[in-house]
Amino acid sequence: MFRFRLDGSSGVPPYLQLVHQVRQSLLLGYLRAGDRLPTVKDVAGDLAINPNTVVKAYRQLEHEGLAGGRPGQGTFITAALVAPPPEASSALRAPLEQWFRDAEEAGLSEDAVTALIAVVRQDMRKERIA
Amino acid sequence: MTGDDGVAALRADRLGKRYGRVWALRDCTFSVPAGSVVGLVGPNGAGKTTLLSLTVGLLAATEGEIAVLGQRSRAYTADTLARVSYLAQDHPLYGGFTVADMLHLGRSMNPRWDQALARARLDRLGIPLERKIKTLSGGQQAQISLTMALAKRAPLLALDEPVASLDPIARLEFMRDVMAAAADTGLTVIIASHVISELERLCDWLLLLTAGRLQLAGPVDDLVAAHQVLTVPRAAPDAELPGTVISRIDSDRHSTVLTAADLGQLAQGLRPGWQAEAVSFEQLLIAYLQRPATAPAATEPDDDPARAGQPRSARTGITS
Amino acid sequence: MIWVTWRQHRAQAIVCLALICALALIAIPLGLAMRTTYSNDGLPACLARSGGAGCPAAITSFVNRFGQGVGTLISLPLVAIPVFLGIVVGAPLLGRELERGTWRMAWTQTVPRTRWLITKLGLVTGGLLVFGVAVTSITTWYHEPLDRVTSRLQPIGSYAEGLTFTASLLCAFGLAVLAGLLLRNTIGAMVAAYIAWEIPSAAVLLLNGPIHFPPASTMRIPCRAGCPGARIGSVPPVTGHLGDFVLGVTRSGGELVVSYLPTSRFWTVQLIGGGLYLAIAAATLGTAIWLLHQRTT
Repeated sequence: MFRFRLDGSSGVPPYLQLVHQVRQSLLLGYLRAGDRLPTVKDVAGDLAINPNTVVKAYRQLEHEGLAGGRPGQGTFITAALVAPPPEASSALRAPLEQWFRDAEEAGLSEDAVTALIAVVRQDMRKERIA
Repeated sequence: MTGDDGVAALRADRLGKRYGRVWALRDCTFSVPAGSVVGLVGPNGAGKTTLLSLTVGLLAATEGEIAVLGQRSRAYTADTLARVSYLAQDHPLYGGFTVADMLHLGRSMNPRWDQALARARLDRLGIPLERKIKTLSGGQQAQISLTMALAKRAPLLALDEPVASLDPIARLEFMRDVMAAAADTGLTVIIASHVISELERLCDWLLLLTAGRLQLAGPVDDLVAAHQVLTVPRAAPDAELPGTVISRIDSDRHSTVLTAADLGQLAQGLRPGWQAEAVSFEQLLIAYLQRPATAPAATEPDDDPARAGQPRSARTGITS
Repeated sequence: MIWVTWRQHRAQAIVCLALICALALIAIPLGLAMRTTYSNDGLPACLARSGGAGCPAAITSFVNRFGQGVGTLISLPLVAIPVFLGIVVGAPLLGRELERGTWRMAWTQTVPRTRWLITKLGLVTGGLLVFGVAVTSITTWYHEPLDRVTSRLQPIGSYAEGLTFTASLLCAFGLAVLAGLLLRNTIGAMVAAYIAWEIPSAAVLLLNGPIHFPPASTMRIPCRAGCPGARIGSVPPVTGHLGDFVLGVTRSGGELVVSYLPTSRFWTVQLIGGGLYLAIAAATLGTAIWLLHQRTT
């Protein structure tokens, strides 16, 4: 059975830690498509965390297309994590650099830019989940 | 806010309790969805035990009411007692009884007792049935109490500072079992504690009491999202800051401020040179716990789920 | 709830059973020996013929043999047992639950606290009642031959038969239960209950002693041929009736003025004393139940 860890002092929300660990294991090949993730009860009982946190993590994984639940059977890994093709990243890089230049010109400090990115990301995430 | 099936696991409406002239609890209103794990936080004497006692039916409310799964809690009635499993501080048990005797007591005094579950748990924990309670360690006694609470099969489990007297390993074992039980049965759990460092990974709902008044009530995620930590110039007055200022620490040239403000207010009110970051659960609790008791309660009940847990004044500032 | 009450009072029940057995082991052989002597000494015939006037020596020796010495093995513990048993059983019932905090477990199962208390008190009171009746039955049986030749109205005698033993036991129990609730402490409740119990106990003692309620009877016997050997300790008593308890004999103008308690008075006194104890028991237990019902913690 796949065992999770929790780092209480890392500052990263618990559910994200679980998601990261799954992603990490997928990248390293420790988890493969078809593997069954432990039940919510097992994880909650193992780590002493809120079961809803586990549910949230599994939902996030489903949302990212990495895992899927089969009713009555559990949650299974559905895809291997493949690094995105290099062309996708390089295609996005140029508009991103331009955007940073625009922000600097508008007078936004680095931290304000970071804040704005966080705000927009959070808003979009909320839209998605709602 | 109510759960998917519509009935709140625990709902309070202007709940208050007075002892003589002193109000131990006043004007508490909240609605906890089924399946939540609620952290009941506050300094000693804030009213946590009073709130739990009112929920269980150990006390009668002076004003208002509290209901478990839609049914109003009435003091000392079998109906109310059947709905909540209560684990008091120091997990009291009869020292001269054996473990088997305590289970027998549970079976004798609870109509809906699950003896099989109790036996299975004790088997798994490796606690022999013939041992006398007083010969067991603190951790084992806490586990017996928890076994009895779970075997009662009530929809709400109320734990009053359950791990205060336990060593770290015993603590961990105990909470593991509580979380596993919550995952298994959809149990709603309410944990009263003043050890806030452990609550973050356990709780998804929060009730924060100081001096008998509810300062925060709502899902943890929503409450955290509704607060920001701002770094601002020392000179910036509270009135110019977005949202309501909860706490402020002044240094020579800058101040660190915790405000109750949603992202909309933040976007509008954030000035250049000011920095905003998300607040951690622990920071949020500490800030509210340190607030003077005379400050008005920051939260007000609202039927709109999107606004649950948000401060009153912040809400009036939002334009529709 | 019945099992829980039994389990919590199991040790006490066993002790009570042991006490009854010990009492029986002493009283039965003695009682049988007494009955043998009683018939062998010709007492039944003597009593039938002359009401005891014809065999004062035999009666005196019989009473000396069985009424004192060995007989006190049975009588004296009877005086101490009710109060100590009552407070030992009663004080922890509520006192220990409150003292140790186990009420937070006991009263959050599915049994409301008032029903918990009523069931417990009902069962334990019933048990004490059975114990009291058993003890009283054994000692009454033991005393039967003695009762025919002496008076039951002596203070110690009144403990062995009638209501006193059981009623005073229940009184001590009731006081201890209430004290346990009010003081939330076992030892303190025991002390308080003991002190409180002494009040009705003293009242009952006084009623049998200097005070006499109802008042003592008086009989005037004309003295003919010089009043022979009329003493308090005469057997049979001066009143001519075995079982009367003579308090005082004085001569006054050719008459013997005898102050005495007639044997028929026994049950009157038992009902008064027993009634007082039982009234206190009922009042204290009822108050405990009512207070528990009212309390907020």
